[in-house]
This record gives sequence, structure tokens and C-alpha cells, in this order.
Amino acid sequence: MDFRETQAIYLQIVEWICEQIILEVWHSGDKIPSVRELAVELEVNPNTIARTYEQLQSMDLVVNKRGIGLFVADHSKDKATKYLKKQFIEKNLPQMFNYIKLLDISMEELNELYHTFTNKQQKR
Amino acid sequence: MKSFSSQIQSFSFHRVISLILEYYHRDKKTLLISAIALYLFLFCSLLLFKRYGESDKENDILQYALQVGCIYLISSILSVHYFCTLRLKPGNISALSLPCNAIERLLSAVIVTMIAFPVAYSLIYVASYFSTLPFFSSYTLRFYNFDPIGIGWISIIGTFIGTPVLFLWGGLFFKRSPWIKTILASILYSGINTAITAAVFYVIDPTWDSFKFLLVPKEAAYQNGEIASIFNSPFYIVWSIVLLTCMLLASYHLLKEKEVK
Amino acid sequence: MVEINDLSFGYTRKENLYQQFSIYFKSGQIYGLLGQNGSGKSTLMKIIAGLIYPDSGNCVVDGIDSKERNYNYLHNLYIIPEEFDLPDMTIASYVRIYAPFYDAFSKDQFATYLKEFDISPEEKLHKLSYGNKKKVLLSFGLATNVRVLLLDEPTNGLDIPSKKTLRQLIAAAATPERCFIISTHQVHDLENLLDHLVVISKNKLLLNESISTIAQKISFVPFSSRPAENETLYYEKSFTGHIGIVANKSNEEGKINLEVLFNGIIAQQAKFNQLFKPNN
Repeated sequence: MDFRETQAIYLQIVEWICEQIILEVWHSGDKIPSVRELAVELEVNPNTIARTYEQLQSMDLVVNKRGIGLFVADHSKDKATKYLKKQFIEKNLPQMFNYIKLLDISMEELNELYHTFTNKQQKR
Repeated sequence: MKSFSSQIQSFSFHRVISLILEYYHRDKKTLLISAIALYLFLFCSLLLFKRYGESDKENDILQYALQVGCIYLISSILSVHYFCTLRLKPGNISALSLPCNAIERLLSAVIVTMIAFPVAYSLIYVASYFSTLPFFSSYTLRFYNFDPIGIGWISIIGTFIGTPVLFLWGGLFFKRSPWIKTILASILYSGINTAITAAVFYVIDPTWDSFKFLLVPKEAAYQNGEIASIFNSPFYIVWSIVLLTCMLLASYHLLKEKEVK
Repeated sequence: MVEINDLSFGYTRKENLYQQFSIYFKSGQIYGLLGQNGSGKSTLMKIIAGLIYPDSGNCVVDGIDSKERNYNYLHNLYIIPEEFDLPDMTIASYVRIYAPFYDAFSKDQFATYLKEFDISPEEKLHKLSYGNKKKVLLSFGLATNVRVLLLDEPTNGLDIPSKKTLRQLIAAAATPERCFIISTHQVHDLENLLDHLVVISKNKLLLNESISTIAQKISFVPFSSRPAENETLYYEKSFTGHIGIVANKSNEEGKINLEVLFNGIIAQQAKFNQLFKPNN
């Protein structure tokens, strides 16, 4: 995993896990990897993963079944989408808008570009 | 004293054995090559002695000189190098952080230099001695006479213990060229020791003869056992034991205080 | 777990490398020890390993003073120095001879680690390159299962895939009862593994703070043009303009740029000292 320069690593991993849930790599009810397993996979400090899991629990994306471990919560896909959307709108969108304004790109042009993009993805 | 008792409490003989094995495996090649070289050297020397030694007596003394020379030389080199990994960069960090007690290290050195080495040396000597027999079918080669000039058993054993004790200390005390420095130190010490011994004799027998006797012992003195009686006198034995114990304690202290600066 | 109290030490009488230096290393943490060349990082590690004795003050590991340096002190500790010398033997013999000194040594773990590093146990140590020797030592050190691991420039000499392997091995080995102290100049190699940063400069503790506290207090901001005088705590030129360290006014933690942070701390000691108060 490549980490970006701006955000704390534990939060970047939260977002990564949200993506995994949205892409249905991780499903509701799945047992999630142990702290150590994920730390080894992502080559980060286990304490960082522990913090990520705390955050996920406080967001109700992950539930702790006592004695068994952590599991992906019900309706996790909706929650994850909601969270990532909020993040995107708050952090990435203003930057994009800045550029759109700076380069004077019209909404029509943008719309067209978005269509070509989605078409390309579908073909793949 | 507190640290000493903590070392005794966690003492493990098993670790002493591990240390000895560690030493052996680290220097295995050198040790084996040296053993073969020694065997060949002794073999050739014994052949030459028998060939050119005129009498049995002369042969005995030559063998004795060979024996003392070899043991002193090899034992001193072995002992001075025993702790060389603690002294030499860059391996000293790993060597010194190996989990064991200073007392265990010292005991492993004592076992190697004072028990294993004499046994191995004797075996090599006996082997080389028997290898010369086929060349002298018409003669009987005299086996080694341990004390041909009458120094006495106790002193001989003392020398063979004293050499490792001295050089183990030297290997820990001197940072550079410890072997030659230990020899110089022991010459200095012997000088002082001779002076002290002479002084003691002077108190007992205040004549010029006692000095002369110490400095230039006559052959007769060896033969009638006078030398042996001096070297095996209680005073001399007690003095040697005290001295060797002090040297060992000093080595223990040096081991404990060794740093990697 | 590792406690250094009022340490004073100098290689010569005139110059003290450490003076009245105190620091505490907790278990369950991975410490990054940073400092310029000659700032005393390796010396501190040697002092903790009991290989150098303090001139005054002391170093206590698990309740035992380093001056004791007996089996009980040493068997819970492993140091991998930057320069080392391995004996002339195969890896398998090396383990047979040195493993008995560590009670908790695991031969299975060692075999696994070697495999991860792609080294065969039948190889002779003297024939290995520096980097491969280091991999053997790292595998051995991690397999001893000691509680204090001192790694001096562990990524030095390692190739790119082995750095990845090392990160994975450290992540797997970092348990709550263990303490890693890692010195490094290659800050990017291990940055995501560190819990805690310790920056030392001759005689001084410039920073001693957990990564999350640092991230709460400061953030790293790009500037398209040179920032004004009091706008930043420190700034330097970057690829796209300037990057500056500013006080973090939000509640959110950002990512720490270790390189910029280190440069900033060295250049603006007073400002950072006031912000982090490393000696309290």
C-alpha cells in the first residue's frame, strides 16, 4: 500500500478498508484480519492498525464479538460509502473545484469528460 | 560482591560448555592445522634427537627442552588469543553481548587452556613418539622423562598452569600485541620475584652463596635435588597459589569491566 | 523497560557526549532514534547493551543495572551493530552454536525468516555479501525472541525487496512485551513502523515524543511560494515549491514528514524545544 503524504496513516487505512467494503472484498459478517496480520500485510506498526480498528469500531463499521474477534458490521457498505463520500466532499472536492475555477472548465465540458471516463471503465 | 553473587546464582555449567564449543567452532580450522603442524614438528624433532643425541641422558634433556618450549609457546599463544574476540573490532560487540556471565567465560578459558590443551598436547606427543618407532627398529627409543634435571613435579605442573593464567590475563589487559607485552611483563615480574626470593634466602642464610646459587645454579644442585627442594618448598608453593589466584581474580575483573570503546 | 538516568559519558575526558541525560523506553513500542552523524546514537545503543559503562548515572533494563552485565541482563537483549564480523562457518552451524545462549530462541522462526529473505541455511557466512550477512543477523536477532532489540541502521546494505521483508518481520515481531530501538538515517525505510521518535544531538535530547502527539501538535503544509517569516516553525524547498511545518490547529492528525521534521528540529532547536519540551 502506498501512503499519501497528507493524512495520518491510521486514517488512510480506515479509508482503504472502506474501499474494500464498498468493492465487496470484505463483506458484512466477515471476520477481519488480526491486527498483526494486517500490520504485516501493510508493513506498518501493529499499534497503528489497532488504532484503525478502534476508529472503525467507533464508526460502527466493525463489531467486536467477545472472545471471537472483530467482524464487519451489518449494512457496512452503506456506512462505508457515506463516510468516504463525506471525506471526499470535505477534502478532495474543494481542491478540484479550485482547479475547475482556475482553469475555467465549464460544467458541460466536465459532464462530457465524466461520460467518456465511465464508458472507458465499463469497457474494461 | 553483590554482582559476584548474582553471577553465581545464575551460573550454568551448560553455558560453559556452550562457550567452549563456540570457541572451538570459531577457530576450528586454525586449531586443526596447528595440531597437524605440531605433530609433524614433534615427529621431525624426535627423529633428529635420536639421530644426533649422543647419550640417553642428552636425549632426555633435549626432549625436555622441546617439551617445555612447545608447551610454553603454544599454551601462551592459545591463552593470549582465547579472549581476542572481545578485544578486536568489529566482532567485539556481538562477542561481548553474548548472554553469559564473566565467571562462565573465565571457567571456559580455564578448561580449554589448562585441561583440554594439556590432554590434546599429550595425545599429539604420544602419537608423534610412536610414529618414530618404525625408524628405530634396532634401538629402543626412550620415552619422555618428565623431570630429567630434577626440578620437581609440583613446579612443573605449576608452570603448565601458570602459563595460561598469566597469558589469559595478558590477553585481557593489553589491547595491542598482548603476547609480547605479557612476556615483557613476566620478565619484569620474574626479576622482581627473583630479587624477593633472594632476599628471603638472604634472611635465612646471609651468605653470598645463596645469591650465587639462585642466579647460577650448578648442575650438581639439580642432581642432588637442591633445586627441587627450593621450588617445592611450602613457601614457594603457597606464594605461587596466591599469585595465580590473584591473576585469575584480575582476569575476572577485566572480563567484567571490558568495554567496546 | 529501559531506563537511563542522569547518564554522563564521554570517550575523552574533555568532551562529554552525554551529560545528565535521561530517557525511558517503554515496552510495546518501536522507537526511532534519529540524530546527525556523531550525535551518539550508536553509543547510546552500546550503553543500553552494557558494552560501554556510563561515567556517571546508570542504565537499568528490567531492574538490572547495566554494570552487572551478567547472563540475566544480556539474555533479554540483542544488538545488531552497523559493523559486525561473523565467524567462518555455515549459517546452520552458526545457529547450532549461538542459539543455546538464548532460552527463547526459535529455530522454526529463524528458518522462516531466512526463507523470507531468500537465503539458504547451507551457505557459508564468509561468502555472503554485507547485505546478506545482515539478513542472517536480523533473522537471528528476531528469532531470539528477546524483549529489547537494538538495531543500528538495520536497512543499511539491504536491497529493496529485503527492506520490505524487514518491515513485515518487524511488524510481526512487535508485541506488547517487546521494545525496539532502531537508529536510522534512511528515514523512509521504516517510517510507518515507528511509534515514537527520539532525536538526539550531542549532549541534548531534542525530541522525545510519540508520533501521534507530534501529529496532533504540528502539520506539514505545502507552500507554492516562500512562506513569510512567522508563518511557519520551519520551511524548506521542496519539489513543487516549499514545505513548511506549522502548528496543527485542527483536531485531525496528518502524516508526519520525518525528513522535514528532522531538518526542522536540527535547525530550529529552540522553537521545537518550547513546543515539545522533550526533557519533561
